[in-house]
Amino acid sequence: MLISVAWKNVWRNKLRSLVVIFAVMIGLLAGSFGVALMEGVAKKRAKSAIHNEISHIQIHHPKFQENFEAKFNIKSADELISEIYKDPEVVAITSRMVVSGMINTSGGNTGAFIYGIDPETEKQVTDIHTYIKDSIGNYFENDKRNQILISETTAKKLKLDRYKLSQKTINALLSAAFPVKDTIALYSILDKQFRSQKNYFDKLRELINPDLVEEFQFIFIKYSILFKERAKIVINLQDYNGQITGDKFRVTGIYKTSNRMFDEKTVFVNKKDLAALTGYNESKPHEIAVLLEDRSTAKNYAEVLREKYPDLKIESWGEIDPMVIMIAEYLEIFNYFLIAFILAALAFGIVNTMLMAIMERTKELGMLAAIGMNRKRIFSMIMLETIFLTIVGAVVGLVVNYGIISYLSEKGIDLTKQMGEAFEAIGYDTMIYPEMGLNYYIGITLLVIFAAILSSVYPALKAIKLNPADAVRTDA
Amino acid sequence: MKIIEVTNLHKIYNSSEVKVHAVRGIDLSFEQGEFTAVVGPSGSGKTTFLNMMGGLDNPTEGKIFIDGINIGELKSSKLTDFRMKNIGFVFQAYNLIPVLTAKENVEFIMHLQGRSKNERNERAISLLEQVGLGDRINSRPNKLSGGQQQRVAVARALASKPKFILADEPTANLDSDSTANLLDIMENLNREENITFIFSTHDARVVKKARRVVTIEDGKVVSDLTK
Repeated sequence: MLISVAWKNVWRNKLRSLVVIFAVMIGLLAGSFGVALMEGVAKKRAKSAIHNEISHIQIHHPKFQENFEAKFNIKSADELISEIYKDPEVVAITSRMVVSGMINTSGGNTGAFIYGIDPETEKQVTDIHTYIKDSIGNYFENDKRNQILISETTAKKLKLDRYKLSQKTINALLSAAFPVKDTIALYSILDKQFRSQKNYFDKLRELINPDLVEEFQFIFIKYSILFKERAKIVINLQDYNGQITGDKFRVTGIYKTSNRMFDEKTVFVNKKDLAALTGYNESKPHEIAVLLEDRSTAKNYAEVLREKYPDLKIESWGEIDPMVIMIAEYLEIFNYFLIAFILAALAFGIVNTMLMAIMERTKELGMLAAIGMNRKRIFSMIMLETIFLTIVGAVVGLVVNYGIISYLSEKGIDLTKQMGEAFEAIGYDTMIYPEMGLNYYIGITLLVIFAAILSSVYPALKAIKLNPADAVRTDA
Repeated sequence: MKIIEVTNLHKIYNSSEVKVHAVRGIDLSFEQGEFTAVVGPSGSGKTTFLNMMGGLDNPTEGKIFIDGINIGELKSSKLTDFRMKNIGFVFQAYNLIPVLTAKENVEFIMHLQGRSKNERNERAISLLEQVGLGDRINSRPNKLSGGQQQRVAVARALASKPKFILADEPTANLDSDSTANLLDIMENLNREENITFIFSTHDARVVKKARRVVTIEDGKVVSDLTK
């Protein structure tokens, strides 16, 4: 009955209670949505680091990563791979040769790590094949010699980029609130190709306000960029004997991940071609990448492998890129602080509301004490009222948040225009898919209950301090 | 049978500016089944006297025995429990819980006493029928007239099966018909069920019904008449 009375008391002054509930709802919605955004960013980064760059476990010669010297390769790699494959935890394995070198075109050159891969097994371990830009080539084609997969960043450095303002560009501009009247001027260069970004932008500045070109720069590039198809590239590197050697490769595709740093330094060729060029043995790779069923088991599994193969350097994804884990852990702490601060601010409002409610009900509380409701029960009733008030707001806030997150986790939030270049520079995807794990729902609920209890203490203490004789006499 | 005995009761209120001696040495006793009015002008100390007898206020000096127990020696929590089990209160301003129905208001004290749901339900309905509100058991206080609310308050006071009922100016906010009706109900309960009622009042109609009238002036008993 006490619970029922407390619940009914919450709705005694509907407007006041609704204001508090709404405040709690908005506060928690804002906080939990912020949490979901950051979780989305962190998880996407972890996922992209694992599936594009690191995999779950990497195996190297202990000295290979000191200077990336090609002579430090993995002996008996085939036996090792078939042995590891026996473990049911292992989903896929691929081996790579990694050699540093220069890649050149007539327009430019850049240094890079040239990854000699087995296209088929690589596909099972990493997602690079899914990042090949629309209509800019393909993943490795069977039986063709000297194919190379380069990134968009590398292609730009090699001056392989071209620009063509298409209908797709105009549609993207319009959906990003580009002024409609200015699109008319753009139609004069529709489908015209420019050989460099500079020429393209010079022309755009002639046609429309340069400030607009600046503001929508990212869209102008993203939706207009093309690349010279099947361009020829020359790779120069040191061979097995330490001699400089080189060969021509043809670009089969251009990829673009969310991590520009990775893109800048990584090109992929067929392992056979790299072995032929360098004279290294294809069966002695420099790197073995392992994909597991569950990423959370990687640390323990790496430990097991280390014990089994003490002569090799075996690391899990968290050991290879501790920043990914550190950022996730930091964000988790930050997220809880964010929610705690929001709740602390809300607590003042809740305390104020409950104090007002108690002042208004002085006589009634005095009567309850007079007829024999003890302090413990009065304290509990006020506490329950405060908890109900807070929890209702929190539940509504979290449910609305769940709805928004469910919708946006499918659709995503595109920050390309606002944060595009900055995000890519630090390896983060501009498309954010907010998500919030069950642990946060539980954690936030516990924090809300804690805040509600804390907020209820002062008003409840006030209530039990009322003298029943004074309280029933009061005019309130 | 004596149920209340008050000896040398004093109450002094000490505010920062003035010292008010509200009750000055009252000695009284009340028997089971009395229907007593405590009368006196405003500020005479009758409400203070009733509050002390009800264990709501502490005397500055003197003793109050209820059924032989000196309530001044009870700790706060014990005293609350004692009030719940032994004393029924009816207040001038009814003081019902606005979010509960008439029946729930009556049931509430029985809930505090830990009675079963069935017992609470049956007794609440029976008491409300006794006070003539059998057809309003599911009405909330704001749907009841002042007189009806005070009758719910009487039913609530009876619900805990107290040894006596203290009613502080119970008719002060009621019109003549409601007053007459309420007094008839309380008188019947007193005669038929031997329930002890002690009122503080200025109301001549209450005084007329009372079988004993104690007059207090300046904190002292100036007369104690039994009809």
